[in-house]
Amino acid sequence: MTTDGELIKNVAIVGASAAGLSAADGLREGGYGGKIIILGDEQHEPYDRPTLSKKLLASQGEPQLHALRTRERLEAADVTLLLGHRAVGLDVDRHYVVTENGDAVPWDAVIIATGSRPRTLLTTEAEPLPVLRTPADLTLLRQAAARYGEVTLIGAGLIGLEVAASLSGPQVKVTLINDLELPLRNVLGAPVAEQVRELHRRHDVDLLLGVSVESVSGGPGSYSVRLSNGSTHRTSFILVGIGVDANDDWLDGSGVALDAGVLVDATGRANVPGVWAAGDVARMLSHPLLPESTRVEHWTHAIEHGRHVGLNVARRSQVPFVGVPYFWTEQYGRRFHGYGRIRPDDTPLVVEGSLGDEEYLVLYGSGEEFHAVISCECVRSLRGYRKVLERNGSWREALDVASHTNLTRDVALHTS
Amino acid sequence: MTGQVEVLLDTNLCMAYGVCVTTMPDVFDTPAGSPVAVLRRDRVEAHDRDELEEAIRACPAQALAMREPPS
Repeated sequence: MTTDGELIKNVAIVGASAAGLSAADGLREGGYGGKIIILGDEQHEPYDRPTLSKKLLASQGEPQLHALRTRERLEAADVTLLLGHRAVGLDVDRHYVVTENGDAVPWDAVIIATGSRPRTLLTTEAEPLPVLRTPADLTLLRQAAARYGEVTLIGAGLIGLEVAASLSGPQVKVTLINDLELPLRNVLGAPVAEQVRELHRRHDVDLLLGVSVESVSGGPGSYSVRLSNGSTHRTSFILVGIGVDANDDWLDGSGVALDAGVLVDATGRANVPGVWAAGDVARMLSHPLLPESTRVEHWTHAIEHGRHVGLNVARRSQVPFVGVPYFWTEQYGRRFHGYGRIRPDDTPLVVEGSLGDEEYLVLYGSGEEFHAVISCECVRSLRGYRKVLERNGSWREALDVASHTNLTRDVALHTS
Repeated sequence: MTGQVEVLLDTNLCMAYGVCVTTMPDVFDTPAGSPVAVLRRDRVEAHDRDELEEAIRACPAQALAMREPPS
């Protein structure tokens, strides 16, 4: 199927991100032989960002960034990477990406992969509070933890909790402030989220839950946080982790339809011909496992969605993206992995281990629908459930996987 | 493109995230306490190639690769 009649000779990818680099791979894999230019806003070579909160916080010395792509690999794929080229505008009539250096990069197709940025809070003096996004942010956080021996985290999402788990210990006192009583309830489901909350309690994280932050005043060394319950929390350093916003504001007025992200159809196309978006900047209007339009902010989604869009552009195909949302996180040495999306009315069912143990696996669904699986250290069991989710299978099929897994393990126990 | 392919794991890069284990538990494992993943076997059949390629793509540490085995 052909999206338009013109030959594609120039593809611009905006964002040297996991999604952008994967889109380039997808283009080549799909047989596209023309030019590929990737525009990156940071000066760093593209690096593995999950490592910042998942591993490097607990490490010593200079943060060792893991390169996502070596120069050799980019050259072998004939991909031009321009670092320090922040995109500031898109001309959809003349087909240019305009960068802050004043360059106009031409395209026949453009793939928007500008990702997202952390929301922050301003102090009463209008100073933005620190977040964790870049290696510089990581260095600042590590220095502050060492210098002050205490850190306050505002927001208890995946990153906030990973930071708390990495820092909390004899050397660093961690306080976690969150407006919800049960952090990560929407991601992990209530029973698993309760286990994670208990893990943090047991590791002496001071949890201030069910309270929101009214205002923050002061600066590094002496902050004062006014809370919704009327109390004041004093702290030397604050890190904010209250979610992310799509980096789509550079497209304001371009003609590309936006709604807290670039609106794309199931194939990855935006409303303007030749314009595509991939990864966590893209708000997918339809996806078999997601009930409403959604941005997925997880690592493997960026990889798979980016590749998928690259393939569609290269092959001029209109294949819908159906990848199952997946995330993983490590808290105090326990690895949690999840596939699918839990919905508010879902019922949990523990099918391996038991809550409170070190290993367990929980299914979520409602009626005949199977929506998600969350594992704590049962990673080897996930593949079967993932297959069920991929084919939009039923709760019954998920239970069949569970009984098969348990049967196989029982046999293994008897024979070993 | 027929026959087996060899799985390569760079333990200098591996961070034991376990993402590969969720895709191919019969090939990869992250034993408790191990700082890196281990290979349960180092060859996969041709029909598992797509899944191996997915595991390679998904590795945040870029620690996985594959090659045709020497004949």
